[in-house]
Amino acid sequence: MLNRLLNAATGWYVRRGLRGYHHYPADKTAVIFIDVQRAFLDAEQPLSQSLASLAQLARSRGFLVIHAPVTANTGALYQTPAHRRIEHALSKHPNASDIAPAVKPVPSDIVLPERKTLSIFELPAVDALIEKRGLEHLILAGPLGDLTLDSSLRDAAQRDIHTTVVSDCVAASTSAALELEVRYTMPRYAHLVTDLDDLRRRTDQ
Amino acid sequence: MAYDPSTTAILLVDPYNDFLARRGQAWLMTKDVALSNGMIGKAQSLVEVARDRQMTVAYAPHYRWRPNGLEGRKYLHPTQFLQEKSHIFAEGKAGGKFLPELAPVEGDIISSEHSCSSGFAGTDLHVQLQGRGITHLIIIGLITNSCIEATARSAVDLGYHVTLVTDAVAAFSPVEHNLAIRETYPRIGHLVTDTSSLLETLKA
Repeated sequence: MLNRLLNAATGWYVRRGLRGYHHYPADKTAVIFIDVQRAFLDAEQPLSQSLASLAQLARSRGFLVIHAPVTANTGALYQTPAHRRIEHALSKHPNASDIAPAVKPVPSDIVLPERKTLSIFELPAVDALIEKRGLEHLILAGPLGDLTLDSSLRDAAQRDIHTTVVSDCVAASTSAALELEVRYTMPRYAHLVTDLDDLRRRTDQ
Repeated sequence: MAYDPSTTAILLVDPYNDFLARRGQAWLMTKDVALSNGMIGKAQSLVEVARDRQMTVAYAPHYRWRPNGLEGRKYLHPTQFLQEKSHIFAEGKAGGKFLPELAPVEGDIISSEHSCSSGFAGTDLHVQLQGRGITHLIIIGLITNSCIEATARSAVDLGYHVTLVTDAVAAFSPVEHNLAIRETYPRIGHLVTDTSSLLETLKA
């Protein structure tokens, strides 16, 4: 009971203290779709619609849209179950690694090279892009919330960047894994974990 | 599986008094898990066996709070914000010292401090481990779904073989601890085990 109260009070205090960060100037904000690829996103899923709405929101606000696709970590000395799951999904059909139609890239988007790691920040191109564009606000979304998005969020938190996770644009291996991420772990790293409607209100100009 | 003592390291993340000592700042939050799974004694057993086997013992310490230490940072992340307010792990204070039972000895690796949660991010840990030819890491300490998990995730991306020990770690709440060891560890770690099994393996 005491433990729960302390955690709740701490969470409230942090959220209150970080309120001042939640601004999204168009020229300093990017939405990063992490592994939003056919292999991991069924067009029939509600997540597909949410991600499409986030892409639409990003473009309407003038945010940079970045696609960060993953590829199989074939040949790695030590593969984790996460890597094997990714490899299996990507091998299911020839177009599995394509960016999902829900967030289909447009010419102004950036599509990063495919990476083999869990975190997108293992690609030097990500830091280079952030520096070149002067990005200070990253909005993260993707279907592999407990695998690659989590790793990427933790690495984003290392940098001097304001990070937001859109909870209804995230999925995970199981509902329990999703609960752990969105309710407990991600709020320890992201400055804001919110939903699409709230993000829409916050970015309304 | 068998561990080659010459290429395996036990990596302790943040075994600070502020997390694990009775007067530590965060003890009221960590004690539920730490007392129920006995992680202090278990971590101590693993370190002792590692030393007996002449394995590398490495420490990945969190940033110790100091005045103006985070000056210049525009967006403090939640942990940093809290640390700026609470002064947890303060440099030179008891809370920022290692719990005596889990303290380093001469010859151990002590990396530079990590500012967020991964023991590798922005530190010399990888360089020091590579310098000793380490390929396998057994990661223990605090916090189950925070610094332990973040360090494990980085280690995996850096190509290490990662073992996670479910009862040699603790979290801020039982629900987070239980969900992390059940849901996350088996997906991002190469091997998930408990102290008893691991001790048998290490002693074999």
